[in-house]
Amino acid sequence: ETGYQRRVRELCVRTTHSRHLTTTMPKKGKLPAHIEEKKTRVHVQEASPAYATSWTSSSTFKSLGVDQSFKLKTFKKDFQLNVLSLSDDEICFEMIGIDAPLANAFRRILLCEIPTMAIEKVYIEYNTGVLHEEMIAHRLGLIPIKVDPREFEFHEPNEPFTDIDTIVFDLDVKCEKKGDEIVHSKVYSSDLVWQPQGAQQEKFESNPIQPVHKNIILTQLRPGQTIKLSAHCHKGIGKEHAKWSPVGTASYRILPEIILNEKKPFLDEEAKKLVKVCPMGVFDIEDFGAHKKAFVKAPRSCTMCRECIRHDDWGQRVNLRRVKDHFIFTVESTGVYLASELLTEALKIFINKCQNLQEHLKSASNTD
Amino acid sequence: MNLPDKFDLFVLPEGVKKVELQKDTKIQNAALFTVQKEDHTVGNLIRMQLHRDPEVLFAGYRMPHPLEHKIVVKVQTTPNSEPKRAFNKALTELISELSMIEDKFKREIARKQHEGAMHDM
Repeated sequence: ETGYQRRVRELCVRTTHSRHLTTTMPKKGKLPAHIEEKKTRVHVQEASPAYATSWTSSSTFKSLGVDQSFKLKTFKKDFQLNVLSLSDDEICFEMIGIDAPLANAFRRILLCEIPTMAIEKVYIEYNTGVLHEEMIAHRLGLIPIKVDPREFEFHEPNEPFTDIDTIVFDLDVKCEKKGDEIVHSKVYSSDLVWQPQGAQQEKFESNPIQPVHKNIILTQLRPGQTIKLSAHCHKGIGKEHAKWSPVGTASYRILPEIILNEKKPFLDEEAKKLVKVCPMGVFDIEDFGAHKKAFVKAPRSCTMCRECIRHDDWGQRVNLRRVKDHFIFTVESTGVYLASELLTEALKIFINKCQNLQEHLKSASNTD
Repeated sequence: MNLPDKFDLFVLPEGVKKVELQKDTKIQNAALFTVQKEDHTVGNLIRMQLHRDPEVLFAGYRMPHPLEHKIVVKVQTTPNSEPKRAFNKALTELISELSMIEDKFKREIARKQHEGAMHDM
């Protein structure tokens, strides 16, 4: 081997060696692409989802030189909140950059820790209708009451009831036959008459307390049957009973992401089949030179029915994923709070909880 | 008949401390926090926040029994910190995160309502 040949051989080895290094070593402070993909996406496969756990612990990637410890500045930069639709009753918003425990905590607080007013005690004078007393009381409790619960206070046990913690409604309905007509055969929530107590008359003069919906049927009567009762409302939270929940439903879903393999695109007949198979209209067809190619038009409407990975070998060509830190919330209010107020209330309660815990932590003693 | 009162889920009885701290005798810088009348809402969140602290070596929570409403959080830290301080830090960070979310939300709502008003006009 000549000196020239030796030098060429050494040069070749060196360049291939350094090329090998640069493809496996990530840029400083960043994860390699394949790990980043597993960290930020849930891979939804035909058998089951994969990589669903979150790797947000500070020391997970320390060996790769990536520090994931919590920094408020980074959180502030990455966090996004977009309100997608807003009405009095329903709000749909998305939060990007938060983790599953935080999103779940919001959902739990919206569902069962925001206080409202609901009928708790029912004093029945007489009931000659068909529906028995406890059933009527149960139905009365579930009626949402349109009043700002923040104006009232929780009733302390063993304390007398006052106008600051009780709302009184009266119900007095008699079903009669007036000539040919039967009157009051159905008892509606609008038949509940508010009896102002103490300072309530003045306070709620401009917007009297009443049920949110007027046309909830409580029970049905026949001529000669009467119901006379007095219902008392108290403040409570959903944890104690679902009647105190301020939301009809509060749920979130994680953003779906669908990626088609560019190396084996869906063309012509296959593309048409793909578009047809999806029930939510996620895919559509576009022109691709001489062929028609399928592309992802509306990934957000995907419901993860997995139809697009079920047929043939589509499981390898359609990448069905979820973006782990992108949550789309849908919150429907029962009418007590405005939809826009619900999350603010939830956040206030949340912050109070944490501050309360901090206070108690200070006085936590050593028990051995 | 055997059903416990629903308000047992969140009402702290007289004389019961909300947070109790029990230092681990065998492991350095490790402690067990028993938080009364709390559930997974807070527990999972504190655990997640503790994980993001570089000084924390071990953080985990559990609810010993679903009918007893308390959570037990086990924290072990490096010698640079101690469990009570790490727990406090996690709570402080959570409060600042939540305040930030609150601000952003208020601004977004105002913007959306403004948009709606402009649309109507």
